[in-house]
Amino acid sequence: METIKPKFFFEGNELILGYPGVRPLSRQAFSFQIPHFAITALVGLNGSGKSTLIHGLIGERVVLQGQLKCFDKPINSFSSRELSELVAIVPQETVFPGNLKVRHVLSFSQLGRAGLFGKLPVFDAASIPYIVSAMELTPLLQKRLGEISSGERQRVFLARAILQHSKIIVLDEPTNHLDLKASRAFWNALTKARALNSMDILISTHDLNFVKEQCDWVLALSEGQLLFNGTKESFFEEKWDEKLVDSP
Amino acid sequence: MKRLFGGGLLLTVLFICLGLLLFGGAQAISFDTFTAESMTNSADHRIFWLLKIPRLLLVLTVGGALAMVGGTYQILFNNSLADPYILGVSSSVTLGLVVAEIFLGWPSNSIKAMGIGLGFALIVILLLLFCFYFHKLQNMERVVLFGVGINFLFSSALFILISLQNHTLGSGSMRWLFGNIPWIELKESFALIAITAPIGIIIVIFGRYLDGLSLGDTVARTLGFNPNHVRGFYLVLTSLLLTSVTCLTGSIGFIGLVVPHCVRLVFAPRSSRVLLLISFVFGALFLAVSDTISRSILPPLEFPIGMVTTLLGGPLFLYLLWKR
Repeated sequence: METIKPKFFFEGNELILGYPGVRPLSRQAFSFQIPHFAITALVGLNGSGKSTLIHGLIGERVVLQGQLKCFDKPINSFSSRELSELVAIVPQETVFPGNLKVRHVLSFSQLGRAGLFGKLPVFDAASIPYIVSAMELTPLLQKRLGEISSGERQRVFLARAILQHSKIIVLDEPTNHLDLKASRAFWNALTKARALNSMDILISTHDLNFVKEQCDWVLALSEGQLLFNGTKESFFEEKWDEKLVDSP
Repeated sequence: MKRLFGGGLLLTVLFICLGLLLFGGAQAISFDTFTAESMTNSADHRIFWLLKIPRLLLVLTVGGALAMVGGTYQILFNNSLADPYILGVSSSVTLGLVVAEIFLGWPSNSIKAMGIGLGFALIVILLLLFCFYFHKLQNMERVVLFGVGINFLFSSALFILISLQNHTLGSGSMRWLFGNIPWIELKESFALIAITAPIGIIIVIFGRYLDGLSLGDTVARTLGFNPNHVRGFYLVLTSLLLTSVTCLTGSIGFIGLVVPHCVRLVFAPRSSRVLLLISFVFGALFLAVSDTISRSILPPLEFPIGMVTTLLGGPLFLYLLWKR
């Protein structure tokens, strides 16, 4: 990175979000700054613009006006290769290739760095990174994605993102479909991973208990606009969690 | 280990069938008479080099190509039901060939008629790229629906044309509905390979992009490639491959849908590259075996090849699905 350590990992200036050719999410621009090395919760009702902001962070063209910056540089100035070293994502669980084995999914973490002809890492019994065993994935390596539970699958996708060794991990409603036990296992795995590598984490979630327990910073959106941006403590002290539900 | 053994056994069986295709069939040639030196100018020798070898090369290329395109589409559209004909490219080629034959009187195996077929395919490809450009097909389900629509449209047009033609010209074009393996010359089979091989190689080399796509568009983006560009690139490549193959054989059903799925179920390949390569090998051998069978049931009649591939592949596929 640069010689001067950036203060913010992610910031937006005078933003209006939306997809090109579609009505913008909001007419009013907003700005925000997220401090470096925080676990940031991105909260808001469905349709508030959480996913759009995440798409902006991974380089999709969703900024209609203003600028999104990552580590003091505009996001659209990163090449696609640089972007792959910057952000890794755990998407909302949708479709997945059921006949792909877990160890092969993990090897896909290096697709961006390997290019067309580089070697992909091999995850077999002889070479299991500590992070994989810490996340309790070793017994799953030989299984196919279709054979394991959705909680296990979500941990596999988290491990894939972490093995990408990027500076930022984005999680898009990762525990949406999981029961309490599987969610806990997922958060435990994330905590362990964070203890091993320092990284910025942005999580979009509806789980305010989790925000209370695990996060440092909260960014709340409502109808494509900023509702709140600040520390977790002031979010709950100023009762923004209630205002979020009542927001139009 | 067990899987390796199963794969080996399957390959052996397919190779034995290949041998039967070369030395059996309606004009059986014994291996001994073939190797005897006095045979170099005999009729058997000519049948072997002028008919059998070109046909074998043709079916191996076509079968392999169909299996590869099917496997690619299943990843590309995140749709396990995608087959090579899903975009309507093949039905447009077929329609073009039949139009050339009926209205212009050009035989369907002439270069002119193939040009018309290619033109029809280009219309569909341009339409697809057009929709992509205007962000009408961001959702892959819509691409598939688009293809189904095109398919229905062109197949019905084909049906109407053929029914009309039956009163005047006989049922010559009927074969395009079930697929048809033509007898071609050796140099034609080499020309086909020269066209399809480079496309196939590019498809396999860039297979890493398909790996990225298989985990979803957002993941692909964070791995450093734009999913829309990858889709556009692969749509053009596969359409070209499919066009060159369909020009010769019409639409042969089932092979592109079933072979890649069987490969996934049996081998769980580690990447799209491996999947596409194995699919090519088994698709090629599968069509070769089906072709032998289609000509062996009631010689000298040839059964429609599409019916044979479906009857052979269907039960195998159901069995594999049942097991998993």
